[in-house]
Amino acid sequence: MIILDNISKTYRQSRGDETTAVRNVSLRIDTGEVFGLIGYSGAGKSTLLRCINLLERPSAGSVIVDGVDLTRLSKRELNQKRRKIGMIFQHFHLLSSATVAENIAFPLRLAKMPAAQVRARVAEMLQLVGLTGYERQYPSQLSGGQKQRVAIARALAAEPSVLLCDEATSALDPETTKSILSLLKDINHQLGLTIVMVTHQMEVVRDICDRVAVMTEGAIVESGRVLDVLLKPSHDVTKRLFQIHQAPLSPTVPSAATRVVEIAFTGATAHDPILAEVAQSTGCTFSILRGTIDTVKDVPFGQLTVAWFGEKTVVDAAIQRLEQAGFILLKEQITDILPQATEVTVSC
Amino acid sequence: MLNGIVWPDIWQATGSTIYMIVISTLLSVVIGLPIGILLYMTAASGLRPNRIVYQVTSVVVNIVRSVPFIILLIALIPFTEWIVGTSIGINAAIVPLVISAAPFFARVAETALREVHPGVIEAAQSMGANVMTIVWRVLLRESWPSILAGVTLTAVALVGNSAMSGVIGGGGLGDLAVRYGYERFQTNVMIVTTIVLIILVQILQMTGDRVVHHFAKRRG
Ligand SMILES: Nc1ncnc2c1ncn2[C@@H]1O[C@H](COP(=O)(O)OP(=O)(O)OP(=O)(O)O)[C@@H](O)[C@H]1O
Ligand SMILES: [Mg+2]
Repeated sequence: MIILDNISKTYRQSRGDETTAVRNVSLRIDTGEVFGLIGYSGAGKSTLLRCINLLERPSAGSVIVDGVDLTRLSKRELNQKRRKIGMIFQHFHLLSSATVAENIAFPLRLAKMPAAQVRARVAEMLQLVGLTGYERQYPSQLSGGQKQRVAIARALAAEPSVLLCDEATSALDPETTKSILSLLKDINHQLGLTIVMVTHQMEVVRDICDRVAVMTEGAIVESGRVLDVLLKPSHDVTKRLFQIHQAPLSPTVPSAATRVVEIAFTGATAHDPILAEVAQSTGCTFSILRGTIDTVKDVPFGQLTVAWFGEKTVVDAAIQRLEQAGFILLKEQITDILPQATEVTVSC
Repeated sequence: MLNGIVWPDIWQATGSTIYMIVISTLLSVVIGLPIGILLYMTAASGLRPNRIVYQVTSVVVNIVRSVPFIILLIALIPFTEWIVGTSIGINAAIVPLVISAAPFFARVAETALREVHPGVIEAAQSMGANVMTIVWRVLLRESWPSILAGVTLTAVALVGNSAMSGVIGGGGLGDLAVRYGYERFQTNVMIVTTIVLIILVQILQMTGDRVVHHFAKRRG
């Protein structure tokens, strides 16, 4: 478990002015969870992440990892502790002069592991990241995704309990990003590793994080389970970061619609024909104006904009039924403020 | 054209020059590398920033580097006598060579170390490496090809200076060129010594490039 207690980090500039990169952040990250830190560039995400292994010493506050306050350790003790906190970076930071095997062996040699054991452990790690046979290659001979795999193997070689990831997929193409994320997900499951991911990519949070904290100007402005934050973003930055890129609503919204609502559904509700059932049983009709379906950490998640037709009371009843069935009413759009239109477009 | 050239003298002088270059290159590296590491470590962006240590070291290095070699050569005579016991002979010639080349090599090493990406050092720190480990297993290892290129650079610079140093100390190709070519008007000896020096530089450069290439070939 990681506890950040009232962390602040202030940089003193040369001319006496100060920049506060992190202000009064308190955070608790549970063992085995994948925690996302998201925010725009300059928000202070990297600084906060680097405070967890004291690459950046906080100006105030304490950092407690697995019960030990890192800020109180001596240099020696801190170096010992750091072996149990792995870290990977956007640009991998592998030793270019060392082979893949030597890179992975680096933390093991720091721990003075005997050579035979090192070889076995390196082989094991290569297998974990799917790079068996690449021992003797140099980083320059690998693709970005392969380099990140080597970096992951290196970070995990000394069996840390925590993995810190600073934009680990930001330099990779979407395909490779997916494969690295699924590797991290596997590792999280297999090893019960706690993962802290800094990112500005919404997809990363959606794909693998259990919880997320949104940062802006050095502070955490919102945090919670990913789905909750996704469904009910309260801060402006969150809304901007998390907005699902839906097609803009066509101006040709049916003028005859009684109500137009935006609804969201997750998990089980995604598979059942609830919309149709509700319409049938209440006796109104509907038309889907637009929609997206996605997954949040493998759980289906969708958002639909639906126009309802029929008696006002009937439509109201139908929407109430939907909410009872687990749908979440996100937004109401009253038809008469929408432009008049003649044609119904359904985009799904 | 080749009349009156005493070949055994030429070969002996070549041997002396090679000896001076090899020994002074080695000593320059032995002295210059730690200074280069000190400069790198204590610089503002280094692992152990220390303004005072950096500035003092840097100024001393700059002063030595800006004194013309011929002046250094003369100014160091008492110092050489104190170290070697005499100011004559090729061993005495090595002292000013090292004093001039070590600061040069220190700067080359400092520059080479700065080329190591800070992220790589950070990764090592995140794995719990201490400063010594970072110097040995990250900094020197990563910058090794650049440092070796710097050794070549230093050795080549020493060829020219060794000729000058030999004139004062008595020994090597420079000394030969002056004794025969200048004092006895044997221009052909001067030409031959110059050609030998050119060949020496060529060999040094080619060997250096080979070694660097060997160490650098697989990196990106
Ligand atoms: N060493 C430093 N000295 C001075 N200011 C710094 C330093 N490191 C970071 N900052 C400042 O702190 C703020 C936060 O930086 P940080 O790198 O943590 O942001 P970030 O959220 O990771 O951004 P990005 O997405 O661009 O990586 C920035 O305004 C930055 O300029
Ligand atoms: Mg960052």
